[in-house]
Amino acid sequence: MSALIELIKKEMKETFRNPRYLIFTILFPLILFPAIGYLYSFSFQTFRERVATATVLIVDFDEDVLSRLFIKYLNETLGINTILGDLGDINSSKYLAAIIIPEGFTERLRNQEPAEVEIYSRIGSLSFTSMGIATYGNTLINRFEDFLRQDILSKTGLDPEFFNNMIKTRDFVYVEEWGKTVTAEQLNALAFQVYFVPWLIFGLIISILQVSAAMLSEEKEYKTLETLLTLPINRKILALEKIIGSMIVSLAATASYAVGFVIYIYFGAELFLANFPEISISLDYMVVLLLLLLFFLTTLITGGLGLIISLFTQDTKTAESLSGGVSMPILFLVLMGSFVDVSTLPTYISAIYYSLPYPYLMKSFEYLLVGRTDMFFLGIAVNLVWLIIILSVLAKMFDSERLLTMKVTFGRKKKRSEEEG
Amino acid sequence: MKAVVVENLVKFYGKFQALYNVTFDFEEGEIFGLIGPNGAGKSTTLRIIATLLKPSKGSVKIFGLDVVKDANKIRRIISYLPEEAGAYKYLTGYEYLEMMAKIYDPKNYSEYVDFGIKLSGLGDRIYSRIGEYSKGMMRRLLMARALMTRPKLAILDEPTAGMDVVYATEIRRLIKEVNREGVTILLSSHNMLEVEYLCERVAIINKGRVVALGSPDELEERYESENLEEVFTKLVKG
Repeated sequence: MSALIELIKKEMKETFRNPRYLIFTILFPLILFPAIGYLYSFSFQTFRERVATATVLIVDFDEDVLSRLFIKYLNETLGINTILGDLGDINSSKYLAAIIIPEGFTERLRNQEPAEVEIYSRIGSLSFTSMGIATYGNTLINRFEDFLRQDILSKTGLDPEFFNNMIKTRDFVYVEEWGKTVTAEQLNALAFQVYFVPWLIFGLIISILQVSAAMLSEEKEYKTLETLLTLPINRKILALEKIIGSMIVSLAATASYAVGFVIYIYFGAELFLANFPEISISLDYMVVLLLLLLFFLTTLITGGLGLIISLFTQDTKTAESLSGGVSMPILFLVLMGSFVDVSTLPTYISAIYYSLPYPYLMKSFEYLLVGRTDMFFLGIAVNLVWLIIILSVLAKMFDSERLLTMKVTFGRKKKRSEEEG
Repeated sequence: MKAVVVENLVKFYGKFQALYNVTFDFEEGEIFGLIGPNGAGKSTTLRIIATLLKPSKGSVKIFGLDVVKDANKIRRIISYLPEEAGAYKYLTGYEYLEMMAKIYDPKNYSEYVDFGIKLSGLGDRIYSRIGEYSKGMMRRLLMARALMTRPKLAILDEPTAGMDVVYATEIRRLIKEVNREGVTILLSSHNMLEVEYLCERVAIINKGRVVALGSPDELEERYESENLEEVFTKLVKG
């Protein structure tokens, strides 16, 4: 038993005295989750403020008792500002929601027939928080229905259950990022792409990052780098060789992605496109090529990042740890894209988000399905700029002796192998 | 012609000074030894001569070429065997030598490869993957790589480190053999007997400074010692 305790003590000391473990396992989650929490709460607060100060546009074609009662209910019971307008105003950014009450609304309900209203909402981008706004108008109708059932109909002696779900809704959501109006059904179908696909891409990016990070650190670990650097090869050629190596990894990943994409389209997205032709684009070769080009550039940037990591590491284990650390900000972007309506964040945060290379690929399927080819072009441009920066950094680092001497020591006593001779 | 001229060489790693005005030279065709205790600055000096590191101050010339300005030209005429060198474990020994030879001469590389196979003495094991080699076999392969192109200057950092007596003797024989073919050798070693056997002249380096320079016989006479090991001990401890 005492031997076990001693061994556990040793294990704890070895683990918790290792700053690498502390940084990536303890410190990063402590930073990552509060940061996401802050962004989420900021976005949620924005949502609450918008709801609290919301103005709802009412297009009243009924102009009868129940439509007027509905407006009165919104104003007096729920304290919501309403404005009467016409159909031309339904997509205005001034209104959180627009509710169109059709002619004969009161008459149909009096006759105990279902009546249908149309609801138009407006969100910046699809996320967990913006879904609240997308369903805001629907919530108002449900509450009015409850009001009718409990406070009015019960007083008339009619069976309140009879009135259950008599007001049907047709929900439309204008998504600013897409520049399109979609139905609630379409929005739910798209939500799958928005929440699920980025995780698949994230997994792929991590594996490319780790493979690339090992490329140079393996040369260091297996003691082949010094020999390589004294061969009659220009350092830029050497840098190019590693970049091409990384590019081959990216190309292999792109090819695998293309195959997976075809299968995905066959099983899933084609069904989506067929069902919602009014919002989708046709999957022509140009669009697919743009998607693959974006994928290639983003993975190449990841490969370049991996190579930069490997410049600082002396072995593959450290390279993997460091790439794990670098993957945290990428994970942050995935979470941010899923949880937060980026358009509700302060402008500088949105600007930073869209100036990074990864969001475009994370959202690529969403862009593809709603026909935002312009975002592919923007993503390709942003990725090209990052690629140039990363290649320049790599070329500069390969051309200096730091290639041999640079290392992350993670608090260990700095080992100067150079000084040992 | 002078093969190597090192003048007032200074090297800093950040604030740490590894070399203090190191000065020595040796002639073409010589086997020159650089000896010193751990951390003395031997490998730093060799790495600067091999164009891996840049001097902080001072100059180093290899056959008249400057290690900073003419690094690419120097890399064509030298070869460097680091103390802790490795090779690509998924390549065979033959593929490794062939790849290296092609870098030096893409057209007439086969002559280098043939010589490299002969130098390595690995026989049929040259076609085995390097990952399957013993430490001694690996060192012989690396030595063959360093010498197969018959460089004008071969820089060998601890060429027999970690090898058993039989392999070490074989390596020393190889060094002598290629030197007779015209390859100038600069080597560092902890093994004083090896240095005494191989080198015509040596520089003893301690704490980043050259503390003695001359042939083993001259140094033994100057420091009234029976062998180089005694000279070394007196200088390093004293």
